[in-house]
Amino acid sequence: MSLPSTPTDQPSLAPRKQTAGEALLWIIMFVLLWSAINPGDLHSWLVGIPVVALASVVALRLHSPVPRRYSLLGAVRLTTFFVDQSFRGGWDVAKRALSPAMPLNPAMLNYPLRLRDELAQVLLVNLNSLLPGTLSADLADGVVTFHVLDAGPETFADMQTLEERVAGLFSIPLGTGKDVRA
Amino acid sequence: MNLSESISAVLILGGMFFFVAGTVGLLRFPDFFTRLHALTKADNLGLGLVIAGLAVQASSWADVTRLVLIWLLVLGASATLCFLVARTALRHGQKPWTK
Repeated sequence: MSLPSTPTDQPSLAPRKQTAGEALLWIIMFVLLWSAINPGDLHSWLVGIPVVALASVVALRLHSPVPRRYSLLGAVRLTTFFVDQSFRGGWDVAKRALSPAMPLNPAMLNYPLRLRDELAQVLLVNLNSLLPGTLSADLADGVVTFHVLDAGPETFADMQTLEERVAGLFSIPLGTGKDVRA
Repeated sequence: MNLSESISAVLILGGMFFFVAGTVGLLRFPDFFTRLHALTKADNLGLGLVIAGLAVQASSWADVTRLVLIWLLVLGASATLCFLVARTALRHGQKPWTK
């Protein structure tokens, strides 16, 4: 898996100090979220303030220290792709489940990821599990093991597209033209 | 039924269809991994459509936010659990069924 690596491809893994700005950002986000689900309810803050504090601490501690650039266009493209694939795949799987002949051609496959970033890998693995027809079964050393209900010629192509959309969200450039079946 | 009620009914019935299909798959599919497929898919599409149907009728944006949050939390839990269950089965030598 020798990939062309660019500086943005592999962000520095050195721990970065959490800044006050980041803490403030989380607090604002959780305050907005709490007000959204409890609009105009002042008493709810009796619970809300400790919850916001706790959530911010947890978010700061769990959030990976790698600096990332998120792309709004990437988020829209990933969401569109996810919704579209959900309906196509969902319909396809439903047909197979309900058909008397139940046409299935399951297979366990390995896909070496071009994505290097761990958060991006985890997101890809989870989205792959949620998409109908595919299910992630392992992630080790940058290789995803996944199960498909119906192995076909487009199985790896779909995975590549999902990987490209996830990369787009994080503005990560991916190498192209790599034969993943190798 | 007015318009929003009709849209809501169509969405919820659509969601129920995917739940039923998922349950049928869970019962009929041949092995551990194929059955696990059936479970996760209902959470995504089935619950998504039911949530969308309820959101159409929600009385406030706070309710819509709550509904969407519920869906996102279920999706997160579902994907994580599905992966952990599949990985454990795979690493303990569970063999996938093939034609």
